[in-house]
Amino acid sequence: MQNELIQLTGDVRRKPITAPGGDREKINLDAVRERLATSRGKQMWRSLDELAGTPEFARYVEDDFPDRAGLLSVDRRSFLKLAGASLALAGVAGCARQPQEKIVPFVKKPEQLIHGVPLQFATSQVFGGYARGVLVRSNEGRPTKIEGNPDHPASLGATDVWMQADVLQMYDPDRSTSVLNFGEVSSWDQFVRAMNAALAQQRRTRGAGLRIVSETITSPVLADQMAALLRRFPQARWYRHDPVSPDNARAGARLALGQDVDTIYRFDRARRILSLDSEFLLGDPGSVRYARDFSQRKRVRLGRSAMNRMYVVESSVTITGAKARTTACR
Amino acid sequence: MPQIFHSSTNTLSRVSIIAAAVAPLALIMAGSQISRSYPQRVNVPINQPVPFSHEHHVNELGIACQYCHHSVEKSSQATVPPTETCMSCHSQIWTNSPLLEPVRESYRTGIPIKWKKVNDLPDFVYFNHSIHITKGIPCQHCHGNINQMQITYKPQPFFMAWCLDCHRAPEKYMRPRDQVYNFAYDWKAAAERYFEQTGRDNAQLPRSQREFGELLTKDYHVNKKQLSDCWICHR
Repeated sequence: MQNELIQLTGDVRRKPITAPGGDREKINLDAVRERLATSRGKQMWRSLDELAGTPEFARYVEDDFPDRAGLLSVDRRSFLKLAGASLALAGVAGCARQPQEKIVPFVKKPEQLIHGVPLQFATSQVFGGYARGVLVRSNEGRPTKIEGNPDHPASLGATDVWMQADVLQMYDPDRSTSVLNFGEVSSWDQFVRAMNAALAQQRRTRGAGLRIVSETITSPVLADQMAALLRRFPQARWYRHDPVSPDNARAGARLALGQDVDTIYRFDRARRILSLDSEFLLGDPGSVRYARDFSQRKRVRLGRSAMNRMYVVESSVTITGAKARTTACR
Repeated sequence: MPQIFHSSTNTLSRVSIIAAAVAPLALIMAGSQISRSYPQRVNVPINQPVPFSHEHHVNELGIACQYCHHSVEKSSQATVPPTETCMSCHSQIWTNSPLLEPVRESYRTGIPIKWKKVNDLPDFVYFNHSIHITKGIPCQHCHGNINQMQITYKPQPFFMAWCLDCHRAPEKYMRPRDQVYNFAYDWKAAAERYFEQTGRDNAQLPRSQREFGELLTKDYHVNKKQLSDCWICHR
């Protein structure tokens, strides 16, 4: 039976209707060169065969399933044999004994963890240097979903796209899963050893050759650690770089107030809002809270009869502009 | 002309008529017994890395089920306890027993013990321990008299018809919540205690487990209509 099947399928494979390889014409390279020389712009070709424009290839491309074995090449008896065999063997799959599975419990169970019940952790997501309170659901130790923290003033239980997408970073296949040294897998021990050697050298020059580049840090713990490091290496320099940063807004604040300050808007108190190219509803660390405050003032319930009114002047279309009463866009 | 058939043929023919009627039945029963023991492994004790005896721990020592299977009331899984739980007693008693060496080794090395799963439902069935415990379905009903098992075995083949038997009429097996871990359950005594607890009139005491169960389905808000819906188990 099995032999017969193999033979049958062998036969089937030997007789496809449209063979992509085999005895087709050789590519005429001169014709190809001529075509390439005359074509301009976006005249794509997917393979040399297509470029050569052989009739076999044209037929191959037109066929919906070019690699299928031809059903017509099986004769009636073989077809019935195959159909009978598949019917007869269909029930056999159910006769298998269930494989022996293993239960692997913890050696020391983490506190509060109940297997099968997700745990919620209150943590923060950093955006533009500012932490925003979130709740992360963790299934058996793996974070799976981020939601807003109702008790955090920058979230009030809501999230934005970056908070929602942050969990994907965890499972990003491009994320390094181990310490790398020039592309080679290394270990934390070796990293600490190499780091200590480098720092020992810097200690002699009081950090004159030490440069640190980081994003904006507003975490008090990390800022304190950086300050301690800079105290130990007074000659070292710490540079900040953010891909997107409100540097110009800060420079403006410095001009106006003479010190480094960030603006916190109170949209819950504003009756008229004028936004000059400022997308405060999306893309600001406080956006989630601003959106809530802004929309609260749009409600005409609880004795309030007037909505807030917003005017937006912007250089490109934004979410904030879409919510405005009047938008000027050039 | 001599007789073709010997007189004993009469008996033979009678027996064969009866046999013909009984044989298919016997064949089916034998087949089901073989299928229970071989593919289903019902009543076949499964050797574990540590010969853990429920009989000793439950019957003789009286340790509550939830001491080890602590998540059974809260989670879909009852879970096998971490090595730490075993060591909470066995760091004090039987500390030199060779049978417990795998436990000590696991605790020393941090490598978990790999237990063999005994009651294994197919992966296309969703089963939740906590809901059954909360609605008063006893351990005993699925796990049999596990308090008497030296080496744990599967007492039921867990066929779908068996699940449906209870899902169609849960009142047959439902108990008050505080009776689910009881292996010597007496519905009359339980009903009397339940009536006392809930301040009911003793004159209306149920006359059978079924009646008592009916009352419990109402008290525990068991929606019998949806219990046999496909999606309840096949999600």
